[in-house]
Amino acid sequence: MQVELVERARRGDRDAFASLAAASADRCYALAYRILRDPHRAQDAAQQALLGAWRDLPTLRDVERFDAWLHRLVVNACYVEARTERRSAAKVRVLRAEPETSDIARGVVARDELEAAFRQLSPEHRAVVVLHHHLGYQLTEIAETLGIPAGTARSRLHHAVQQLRAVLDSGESAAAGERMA
Amino acid sequence: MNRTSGLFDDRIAEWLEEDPDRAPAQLLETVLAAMPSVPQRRAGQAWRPAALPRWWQLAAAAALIVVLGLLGLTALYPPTVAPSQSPEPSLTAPARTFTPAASPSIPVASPSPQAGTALPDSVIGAWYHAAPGWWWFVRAGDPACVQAVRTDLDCVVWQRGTTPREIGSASIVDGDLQVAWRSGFCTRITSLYSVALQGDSLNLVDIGGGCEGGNFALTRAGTGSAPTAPPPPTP
Repeated sequence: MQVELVERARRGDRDAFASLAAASADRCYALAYRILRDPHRAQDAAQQALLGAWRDLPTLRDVERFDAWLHRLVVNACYVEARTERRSAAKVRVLRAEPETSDIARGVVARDELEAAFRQLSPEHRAVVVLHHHLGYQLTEIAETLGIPAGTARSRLHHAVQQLRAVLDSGESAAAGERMA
Repeated sequence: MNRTSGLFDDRIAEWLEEDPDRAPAQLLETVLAAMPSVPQRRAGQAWRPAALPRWWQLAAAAALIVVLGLLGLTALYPPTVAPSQSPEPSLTAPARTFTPAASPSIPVASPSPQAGTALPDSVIGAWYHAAPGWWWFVRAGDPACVQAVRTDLDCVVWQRGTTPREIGSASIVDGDLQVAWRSGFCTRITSLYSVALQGDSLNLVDIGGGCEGGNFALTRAGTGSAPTAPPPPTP
């Protein structure tokens, strides 16, 4: 069904593309949100990707690869958005929360630390993490989707996870120290 | 505490799972509203350097360097020309050239924007963007623009949140909005946006030039849920 819609849309059928866009909007937004961590920028990126998909659809050779191709457009749109984000973001310092003792509070703090650590990653590293851990892509699929060598995908994922782990480990060490004191 | 890779991977996946999965309705509405103004490319127009063999890319880069080098040498050491060979001055001036701004420090845009027409009355005024931010379309001579852009063109002021404003001359070219950014991050860049105006909604879709890449779903200030606009920030 989707292949037929893609075929029609690439021949200029707007109704077919509207159906494709309706079916893909949530997925594009979800991917963009997870990379950009901002609802407005995610909306902008998803819109840009969908309009880019409409514009460039006739150049898509393998209609079976529409989903992966669209993901690539979303990621590229996120790179553009992130570039403007870097210059416009105020110098916001992430303040460590006061130590809490309850498990719920520790969970909240851990999530905040993960969020803060993730935001420190470059958009390229974020994209690899999201494609792997959220969409379940294997490294070869990530490489193919992003148009990068598999080795680059592997090193980006490794670096990103190491960085996240380092931040969380340091946070937990600090929390353990607080509890011991 | 030691964690296995699997547990840590699960933790990341669970954290990502908590993020929203549903797009705002406005997203699809904007796409569908803007789509008619975005022409599709023809299949033959596809060309991506990444699709070329690496040796070809290297050869192309080397050729480009050689050409640029020759051009640089030509610029440094121009050939002497006899007076009788000097070209006659052109009698035709460009219809609307973009001269440097009132401030001599403002650089000239590159690539040069095309000559265009004045903005229609329907877009003049303040528009709200959910970033949050504002777009102000103002007529030539407005104090907000006059120090950054020439005075005989309309202009646009765009400010996202509390970031420094961006100002550019604005004109209509073949039905599209052309902005030659003269102030802010996009300085020297000329962007082209398709324009879809429906009542108090204005959708701008970047169809060339980039910089503030993306599209902008704008609502006229003071209508619907859009707040009343402050005056555009002056230089």
